[in-house]
Amino acid sequence: RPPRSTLMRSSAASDVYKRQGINAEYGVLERVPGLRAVYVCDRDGVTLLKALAANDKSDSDDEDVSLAAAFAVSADQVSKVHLRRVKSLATFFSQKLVVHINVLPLVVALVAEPDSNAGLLMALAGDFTNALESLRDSVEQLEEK
Amino acid sequence: MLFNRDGSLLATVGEDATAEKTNAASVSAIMANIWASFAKAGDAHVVLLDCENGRAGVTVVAGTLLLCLYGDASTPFGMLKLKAETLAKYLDAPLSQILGSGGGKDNK
Repeated sequence: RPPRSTLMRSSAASDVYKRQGINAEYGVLERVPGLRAVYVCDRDGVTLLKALAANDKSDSDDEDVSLAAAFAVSADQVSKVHLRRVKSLATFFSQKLVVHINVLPLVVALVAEPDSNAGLLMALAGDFTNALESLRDSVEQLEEK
Repeated sequence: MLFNRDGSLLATVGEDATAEKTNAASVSAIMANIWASFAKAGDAHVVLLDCENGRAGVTVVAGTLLLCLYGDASTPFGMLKLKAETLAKYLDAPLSQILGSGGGKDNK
């Protein structure tokens, strides 16, 4: 059974993305063991897209995406020191692992079981950057207006 | 680097003392901010960052201090996390004693 997915229709950018095909999140949910949910947000933490694993019973969207805005701010701060651009950030909680990926002005939030492979999730930064190129361009254009 | 929750650097050890010290003060302030933002969302025990020019790991020591280890971009994450957690565990007892008896004095 394919993973559930919800599209937020309010944004023109997510409509563009829908037309381009949304296999990135589905593919990732199927490929990575322990991955519960994938969210694509803007820098303010507004969810543009989300995909949940078929067996995901949790209902904690707000919690899971609330850090996206914090990630956007952190990414800006870190870029000013010698470490330069943040590609991804993993936070290990006792009940879950949350990985944020920098596709600014988009933020990808991956929520997974606490013992999931963080390195593997962080290494997906490149894949998500490629898959979300059109959506990122659209959001950038919207932000410029 | 060892630092307070407000980002004040307490101790740093690195390959190049001069450059590291300059970087360390800025990095500790930023990492303290990051920890404050992400850890308040739940019971976080480690944060790992993958950046263009390096990788960093942050964890809590002695309940109130923060420990950050950072290396170049080829640093394996598993090793970084394990080292951070092991060092934090090792420093827990002595630092808890100092903090408990010192009442939060800065030791630079």
